[in-house]
Amino acid sequence: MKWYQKHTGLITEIISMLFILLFVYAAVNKLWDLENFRIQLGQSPMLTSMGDWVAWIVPAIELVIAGMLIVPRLRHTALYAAFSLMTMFTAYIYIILTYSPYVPCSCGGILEKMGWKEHLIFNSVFVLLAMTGILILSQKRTNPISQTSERLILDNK
Amino acid sequence: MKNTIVKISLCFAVSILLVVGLFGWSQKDIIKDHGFERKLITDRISLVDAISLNKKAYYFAGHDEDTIYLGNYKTPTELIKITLPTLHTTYINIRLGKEGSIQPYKSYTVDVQPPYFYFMEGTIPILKRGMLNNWQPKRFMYDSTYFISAVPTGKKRMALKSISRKTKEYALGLEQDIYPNIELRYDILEKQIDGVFCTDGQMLFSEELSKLIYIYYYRNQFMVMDTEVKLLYRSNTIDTISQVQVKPVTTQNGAVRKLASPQFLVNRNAATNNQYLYIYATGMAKNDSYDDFKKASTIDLYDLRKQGTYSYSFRVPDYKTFKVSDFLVTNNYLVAYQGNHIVVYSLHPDIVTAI
Repeated sequence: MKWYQKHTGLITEIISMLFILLFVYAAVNKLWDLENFRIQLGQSPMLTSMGDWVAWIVPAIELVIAGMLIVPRLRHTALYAAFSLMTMFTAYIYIILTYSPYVPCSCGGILEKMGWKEHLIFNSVFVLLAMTGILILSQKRTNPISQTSERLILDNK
Repeated sequence: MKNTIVKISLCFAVSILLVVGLFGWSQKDIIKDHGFERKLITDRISLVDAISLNKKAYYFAGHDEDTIYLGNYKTPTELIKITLPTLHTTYINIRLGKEGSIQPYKSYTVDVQPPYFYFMEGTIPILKRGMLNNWQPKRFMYDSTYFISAVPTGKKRMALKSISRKTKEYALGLEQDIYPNIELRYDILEKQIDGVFCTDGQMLFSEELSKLIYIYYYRNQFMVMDTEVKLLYRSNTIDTISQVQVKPVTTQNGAVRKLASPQFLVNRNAATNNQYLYIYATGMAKNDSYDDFKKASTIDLYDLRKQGTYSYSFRVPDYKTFKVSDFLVTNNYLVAYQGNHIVVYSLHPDIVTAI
């Protein structure tokens, strides 16, 4: 427990880093080949009637969340957002897999090479990571002592 | 802490509801009926037997009286011969000889028209013909024209779907051994959007009637032509979608055309036997029960002796939740490729003769 308490700061840091990496990678990949991403979204049975703006909105949200995760003051909110977004992606995959007559993929880059099962697991892991991050940060808020101790640790660096 | 858990749960629930809502909303558009009516006849086919195949990517290459042949897109020289109704299965290897090796990224197809089988590829191009008993295809006619798909309509005569060099769009054509070897007909496929996706369709040859049939995938029409690919008539199917609803997109480099909308197929697949054209159509009719429609593949019949007028419809039930992906009809049976299963249904006699 001691180790855990000592390193909560580090854990949230790592979780945030992972999310930043994931979101920036995914967003850049989508924007890089926006034309293709738009086509893929159009092929999605769920999004076809949504119009082209979805193709902009999704990577934009990913980048905004990544940006917010960098700023410590916004990290808590950002983790909520990341958690929600990953939940939505996961729900989307689940529904497409279960109910759709055909399965298009528009996740971009290496994520596209994953099988749907791996994709589901991958997403679930990130959902859990975001949840862990939120819980840790909330704990700190209600427990100001550990917050100051973290600040001390950071200052010592 | 409690507060946090409530917040997390709330985020979770809202996110899921949002996606589920989106899905529900998107589905509403799709399952709408198309405002036409079907004359549905029930209990006209009954399941005889089924076998499962150990590979994917099969298609029906053709049939003899109660013998069907399956080709495979991935292993183009392997055929499966299945005898009906016992489902006795024989594996056949097409022997291409020394000069005929299989190249990657090509789409070879086999078309069985007893007593011949044809071995074709449109980008090399290859047109070969062999006898059903020795399985060694040989060149047999002029074969220098590229094509997307080809259907033999006579001894040394092919109907082609090609991309015209002139218009860069799909056109049907006639390839034959006598001058002028190739003639494209520009009056058959009618362009609505891009001349490629919008005119795409399936070519069939009715040996009984010596007629070539072209069924558009994305609109409610098919055309009937003679063996020289000359248009005889057009006929509309019962669906109401006369304007193609696909949204083709050319990617920025201009090379690849893709569909930016789900495949709004009107006619998914078709087969012909005797005077009937069987079309597996995807549109729901006003008088279709949604539950019945969803659990089956609905097939509409058109009478080619009556200028392609609509006769009636029947349903092929889902087999282990699988819809029909390819099918053919013989005098006594309807054989469907559902999931990875070959499913044989017997046609009740009145389906063939009556009406």
